[in-house]
Amino acid sequence: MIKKKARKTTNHRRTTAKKKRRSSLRSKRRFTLDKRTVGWSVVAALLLTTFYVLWLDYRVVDRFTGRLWSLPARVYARPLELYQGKKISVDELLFELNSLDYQRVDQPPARPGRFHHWDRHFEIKTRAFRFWDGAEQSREIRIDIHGDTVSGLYDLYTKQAIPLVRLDPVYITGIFPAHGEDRILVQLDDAPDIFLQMLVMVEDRRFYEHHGIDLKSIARALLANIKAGRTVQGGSTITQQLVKNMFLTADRNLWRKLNEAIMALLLEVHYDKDQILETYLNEVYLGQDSERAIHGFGLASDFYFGKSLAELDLDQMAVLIGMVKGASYYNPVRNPQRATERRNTVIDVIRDNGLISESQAEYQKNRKLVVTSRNKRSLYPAFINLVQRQLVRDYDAEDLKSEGLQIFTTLDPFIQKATENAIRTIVPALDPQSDDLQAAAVVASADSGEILATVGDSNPSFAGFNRALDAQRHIGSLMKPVIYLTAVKQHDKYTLGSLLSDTRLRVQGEDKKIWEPENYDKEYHGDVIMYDALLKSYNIPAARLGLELGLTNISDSLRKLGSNKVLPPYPSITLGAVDMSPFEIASIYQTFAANGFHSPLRSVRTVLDSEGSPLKRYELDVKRETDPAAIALINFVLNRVTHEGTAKGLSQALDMEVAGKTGTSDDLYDSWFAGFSRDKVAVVWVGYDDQRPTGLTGSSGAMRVWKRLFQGISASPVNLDLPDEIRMVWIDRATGLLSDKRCENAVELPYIRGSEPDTYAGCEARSPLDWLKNIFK
Amino acid sequence: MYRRFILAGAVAVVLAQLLACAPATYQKTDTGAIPTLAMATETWQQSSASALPAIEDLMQQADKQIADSNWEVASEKLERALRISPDYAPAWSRLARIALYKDDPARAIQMAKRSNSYAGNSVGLKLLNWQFIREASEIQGDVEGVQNANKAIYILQNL
Repeated sequence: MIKKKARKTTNHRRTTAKKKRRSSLRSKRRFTLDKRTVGWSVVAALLLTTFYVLWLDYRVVDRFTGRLWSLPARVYARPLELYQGKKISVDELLFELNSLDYQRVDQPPARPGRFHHWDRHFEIKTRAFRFWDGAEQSREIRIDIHGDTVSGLYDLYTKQAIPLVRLDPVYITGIFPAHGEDRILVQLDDAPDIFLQMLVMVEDRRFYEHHGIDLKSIARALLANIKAGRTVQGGSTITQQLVKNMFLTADRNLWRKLNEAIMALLLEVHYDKDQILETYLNEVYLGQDSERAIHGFGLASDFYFGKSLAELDLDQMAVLIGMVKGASYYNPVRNPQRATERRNTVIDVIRDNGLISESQAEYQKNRKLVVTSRNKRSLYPAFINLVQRQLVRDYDAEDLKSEGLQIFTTLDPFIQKATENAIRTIVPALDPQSDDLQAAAVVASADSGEILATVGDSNPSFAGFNRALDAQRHIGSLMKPVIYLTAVKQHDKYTLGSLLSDTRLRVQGEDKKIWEPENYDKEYHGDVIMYDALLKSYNIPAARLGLELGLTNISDSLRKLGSNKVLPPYPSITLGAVDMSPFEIASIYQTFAANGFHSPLRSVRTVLDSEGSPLKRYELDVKRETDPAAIALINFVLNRVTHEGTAKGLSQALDMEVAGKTGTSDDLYDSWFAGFSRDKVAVVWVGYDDQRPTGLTGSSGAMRVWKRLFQGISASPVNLDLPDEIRMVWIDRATGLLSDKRCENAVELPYIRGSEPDTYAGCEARSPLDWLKNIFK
Repeated sequence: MYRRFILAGAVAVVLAQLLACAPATYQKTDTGAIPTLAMATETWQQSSASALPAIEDLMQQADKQIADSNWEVASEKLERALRISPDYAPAWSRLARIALYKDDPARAIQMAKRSNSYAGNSVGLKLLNWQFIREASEIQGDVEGVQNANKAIYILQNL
């Protein structure tokens, strides 16, 4: 037993010794393996770290090499030109200055973007601006307004007369990329020195001393945070903040902080302090405007204070710098109290650092926080829609959102506002029972076809269906001037005195359907002269004449007037049973307004790149394909329409000669008015989207909006001078023959020389003068 | 009152005679008789209300750009002038000149016609515009257009 036990013990010892030996061998081998592993691991880690740092370096350099940001296109209204003789009211000039966010002051303005106004006098320090044809310098000017005209324009200090001053244009909107980032780039030189000093003092006092990270500052922050038991202070440098904004997420973890530190160091290796600071100025997030993110101090100055960074007051600079800590929390629009407190903290910091004195700090802290922020994106959606349609013909949609193009449009903000006001005031009153009566309007320059205003909805700021461009509605009687123009172009055959038959008319169309038009008053008027037929907008004479002239001829006239519409072969098109938009009508009536010279309607004048270099100019185009004498005859009647026709009293109400035509479609679905002054043409449509009868005629609906619009703007009266080849002749309304002006029914009408009648109607006065007149005829 | 009719009759007779004397085919006239843009502007200004200082300023700027062959900048200046005063005929005439320089005869004709529509009694400016129309018609190979321009120039030169 003992032997067995002893043997067992010996065996056990042997086994144990073997085990120990094996184990020692294994551990030796493990030790050798571990050393190698560690060595390889270190190499691998070093390699990985190197690759990782190189990758981070590539990201930093790659981002900074090309264009740093996608810049939305900036869309501007037309710049206001001021000169002696310019028609402008005090209210209009004030509106422009307010739209430009010029600040009103109580003394002669010392800085750009400010003005002093009393009675009918203005002292303005204009802003410098770069236009397509050159730069406009900042100037100090004095403007005197007498009546509604600029009576004096001169240098504020030298008192020398200035021929012309162009203000900077009102910014309307941007064309934004999907992520909605918007910014106005500022260069370091454009930022006031005091602003930069304040920024560095508040955000990163040792910015010019460290190399991307500031260990002292981190230690200080750490200590403060430990003391407080929570995060109360950050140790991030401006470089680190920039890295975080440009490359990293907002997560607060150690890995992100490590990346941030490495990238900050790399950034400082490649770029100097000025480049980093300039990028920071433009990158920093400073709030939200709906889907638009406000980035950079350039845009923030404009958005919150309506000024450039260079124009900011010290307290306003402090507000923006204060927002860096929390753009939403310290937003001066939504949280003015917090923003003010934060502003005051910033002012304290710069006072403590000796940048300003105690008394200056007190003064700045006592200033009231006034922000001018407003939602600029919702302005003029119908017009912006038109601009985009014009631009996509020449520019890639993506370029519009990213290249920082500067788009100079034709929009006149004052006329746009007047058009919107007219629609907002009149349309709801036209049908108080319903809230879905719709309206649209287009206003253009008569001579150049430049679009001055566009409204596409009865709620003008609603960016939905753009009726000004896309509503296709029967044009009704707006077709009649085209038909009568087609006739008087053949002046050997038709004149304004030609007799037209207003009797029952039954026509079979190509579709074999019988068409029997009626007059609005449901009556027949026998034989009427063309002048009266157009004046009173009788349907039957127009339809009969239109059929006589032929649809091909009418189509040809329409084309020459500026329409691309292909007319369907129905007789009812003679009474406007053809669909067009207000924009298409404005294009046709522009040609009447410009005495036969058609200019395609356009909404963009010039495009500059982000640096202000000219890219494209949309030049003024004119084409005359219609006999000017024939146009003059129709315009004569269109003016008379506003005195004794369907728009009776319009010229008198405006105290200015205008011309125009009412349009009413069948069953009163559509109410139109197309009319013009010497310088402006405007078209208004009123109706329901679902083609319900409105109960409105052209004169009881759209014309009221048109009248209100022209009551609110400056316009020149239509030119009633007739071309040399036209002479005025008294004729008898009943027969279309010559008459004496003293006869009943006599009317004086224009005739192209040689086309006037040569015989007298029954009533003719036989004075010696008439006898001599007849001889000369 | 009678005097007006007698005068009108006399003018009609003179015009009729001029037309009767005009040759059946109008030869290209001596271009020496056609005024320069500056001369035409001057005569136009003499025959119409004085231009606003703003217009004069823009026209000077435009002329400088034309002299430097900066057609686009010159055109922009002229369009600015026309926004201020759409019936300032010399500006339309300069746009016609620029269109010819830019080898766009169709546009030159339209601009010259527009200038003529506002030229009133300014024979010099009308002559110049018809000269532009003639040049443009020649470029287009439009024989009838050249004939019409020659006819108009002939009548204007003999008024």
